[in-house]
Amino acid sequence: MAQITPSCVLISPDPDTPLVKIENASKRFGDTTVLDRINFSAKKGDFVSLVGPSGCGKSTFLKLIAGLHLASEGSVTIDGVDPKNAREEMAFIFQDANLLPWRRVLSNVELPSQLRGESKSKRKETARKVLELVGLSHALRHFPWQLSGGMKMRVSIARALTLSPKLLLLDEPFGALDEMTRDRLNEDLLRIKARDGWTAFFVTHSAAEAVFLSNQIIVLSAKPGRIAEVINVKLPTFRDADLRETPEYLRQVAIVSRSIRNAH
Amino acid sequence: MNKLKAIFLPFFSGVLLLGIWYSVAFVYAKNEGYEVQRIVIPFPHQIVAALWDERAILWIATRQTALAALVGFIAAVTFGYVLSMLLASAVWVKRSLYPWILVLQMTPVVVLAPIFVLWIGQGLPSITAITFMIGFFPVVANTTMGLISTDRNLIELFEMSNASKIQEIAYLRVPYAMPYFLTGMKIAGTLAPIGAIAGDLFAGSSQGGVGGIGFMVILYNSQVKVPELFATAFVACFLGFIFVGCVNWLHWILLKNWHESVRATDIE
Ligand SMILES: Nc1ncnc2c1ncn2[C@@H]1O[C@H](COP(=O)(O)OP(=O)(O)OP(=O)(O)O)[C@@H](O)[C@H]1O
Ligand SMILES: [Mg+2]
Repeated sequence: MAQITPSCVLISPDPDTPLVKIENASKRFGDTTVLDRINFSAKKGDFVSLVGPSGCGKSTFLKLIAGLHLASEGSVTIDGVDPKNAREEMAFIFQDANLLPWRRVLSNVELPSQLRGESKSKRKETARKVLELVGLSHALRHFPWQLSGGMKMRVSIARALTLSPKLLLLDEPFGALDEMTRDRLNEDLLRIKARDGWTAFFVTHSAAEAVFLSNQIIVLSAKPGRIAEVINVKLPTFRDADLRETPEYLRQVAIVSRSIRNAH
Repeated sequence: MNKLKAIFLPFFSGVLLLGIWYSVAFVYAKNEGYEVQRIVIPFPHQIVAALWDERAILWIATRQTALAALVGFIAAVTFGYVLSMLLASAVWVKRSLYPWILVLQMTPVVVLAPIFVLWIGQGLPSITAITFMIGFFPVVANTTMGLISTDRNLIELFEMSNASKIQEIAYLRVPYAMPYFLTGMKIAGTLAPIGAIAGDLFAGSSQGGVGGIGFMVILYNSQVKVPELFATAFVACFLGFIFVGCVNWLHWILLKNWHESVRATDIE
């Protein structure tokens, strides 16, 4: 057990200033405690995955960071400030792409900059750029219903990237996609991250996806949701599709899978 | 092939219906005489003749009814929309107003007609008010439903973008509620000519010689001008088609790019 490469530690005290700091945060809905005394910090550039049984509070965890839910106890800060005041630094990517069906792809991606009041020409330019980044330059004039599930997700990612966020929150973004599309999007996500250097919290049901993307994996236990384990993924920073065939990767996936099973 | 059928079948059934009509009228005439037949089941060509003879009067009547229907309809849609916004703005507003809107809706408009006449006078004002009363509830009920059922995730998306309340309404709630609003508007559009004619029956007047379509119905009926009565029905039907056609066209224009209700019928 001691020889296994990923070190299984509880909360690691962080020397760098953390971008996201969660201190003793609990969340209750009425009488039910969904999240119980969560402590966690993420440094700039971290890619943190959240895994755990269904209904254990992963989405709630993410919404606490986003400031969409308020902690019943404890505190959550982004770069030292309240999440609600740090929205400009954040973007949330929802499970279903969550596009506005009455807007074309381009203007869906323009939405965040439009809401911020940027000029039409500037926001069109940014939207075009991020759409190129996710490989959708050919579909600018499409309506959401004309897109496949994977394309919709790409639009959603593009929209999240328009304002160059420092922190991306992704709630099971690829859960509804087939494995091949999901793998492609995972590779693209890492490519974009290498370019932009944001920090991410990523909810998923898949141990394989979590290992491929993250340097840290939070395993949550259910009822009430507690951090069962934080797994540091010891894989090279540079990752591409080939990584999935290495024994090292497969071993890490096995470890995470076992940890999820134990958390039930 | 299908296109041919789409034109041929209604044409064929139309000719068939016309034939049946003629036969029934003819048999009736043989038994009761042509004088009686004319005022019970007039031949279609007699109706067309009546329509032609009365065209000037019917044209004025149609314009009057169309005006009342249009003004009542626009008022119903505008007022309905504003009221929906108000109802959707806060739960307490809806709680305090909606029951009374329901009470108003449950009161048959024909009962209110004499009161309208008493308050705002015979003729166009009352007829418009009756049309309005009939049309505004479907608009309010549907639009409010659309505004308050806006997707939770989309609202959170706007919240994450620090959108103002105004932006949320303009860029999210209003477009989201558009199909609901248009459904309400379609119902109001179907009811508007009916409301205007019914209003005419109860509150119509013949200022300047002729009233609206409802007024002509009463007049022709009292004079036993039956072909003219049928001609009036034809005109009323025509007016209804124009109204519904316009509203359906608006529905199509506004939703054709994105909403299932339009795309589903497009595929056929
Ligand atoms: N707004 C709310 N009001 C009341 N209870 C809620 C609310 N949101 C979530 N819950 C409850 O909190 C618990 C955790 O929900 P959450 O959506 O965070 O789970 P999850 O881990 O994301 O599940 P899944 O993997 O299925 O998405 C659930 O039991 C749910 O019923
Ligand atoms: Mg969830």
